[in-house]
Amino acid sequence: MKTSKITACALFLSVSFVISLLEGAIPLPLIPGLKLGFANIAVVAAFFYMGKNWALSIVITRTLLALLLFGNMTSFLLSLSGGLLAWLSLCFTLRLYTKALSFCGISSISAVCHSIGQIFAASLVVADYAVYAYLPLLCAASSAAGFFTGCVMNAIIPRIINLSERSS
Amino acid sequence: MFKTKITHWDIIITLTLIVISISCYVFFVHSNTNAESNEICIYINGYNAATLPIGQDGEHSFLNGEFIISIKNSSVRVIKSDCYDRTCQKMTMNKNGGEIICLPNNIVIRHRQSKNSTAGSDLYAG
Repeated sequence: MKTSKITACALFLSVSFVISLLEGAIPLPLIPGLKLGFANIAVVAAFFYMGKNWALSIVITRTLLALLLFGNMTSFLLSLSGGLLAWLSLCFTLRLYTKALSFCGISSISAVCHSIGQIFAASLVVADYAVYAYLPLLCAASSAAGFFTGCVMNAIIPRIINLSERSS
Repeated sequence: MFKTKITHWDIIITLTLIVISISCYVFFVHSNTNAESNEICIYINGYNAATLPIGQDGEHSFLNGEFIISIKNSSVRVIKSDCYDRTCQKMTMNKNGGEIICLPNNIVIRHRQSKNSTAGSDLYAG
């Protein structure tokens, strides 16, 4: 069981990392630096399939991998703080899953938390409160992007989990 | 076990987040229009590296030529940066407001603060 979980974790991590790289190569026209967040589909799937600790390990390892490959400390700090806050929000909001929310609402909240975490890290990097002026625009866009990603999660994650459970 | 359809709570939460965010954005824009300034300050690593008049056209170089800004028709734009994604080059700021931030280089360009001013409306991290 342990080996299968490690293998699944490695798969989710690689999928998440590759999607993250592809997303970075396709800039969205509205707001500089905005991504749709499809890489988080793998994190949420891991959260469901293996538990919150495994999902956290994917978030941390993905940012570490990006740091090792590209050596960008600023990007690492932004990704890590955003990822950790988004993971924390997942821990709370997934309790509401099926009761009130689908992945759309959960992803929307998570995306906003990710943006808040990133802006917080950015304010520490530049030591300037002015970064927070970017937050409202980023939150509005990431909330919409999170909703869209959630719709994709609604379609994909149940199939991934069912497939995984059938094969194990 | 799984919920594959969008619930009304999904829509309510997403719309609430968007409305709150846009309200805050409008507040920032409104605050910034009252803080018009004819000068911009360039902060590098938290220190004021230069203060430039926004009405005077020209190009200004920082970090040994690795970061160059252009002022043209009261509009400021980053024309060269050695940061990894060059997000800071994608948008501009003008005399009515806005700020440019290049995170990898730790550079903040914003209007000179007056007593009544607040943070700018458009901030671009690069």
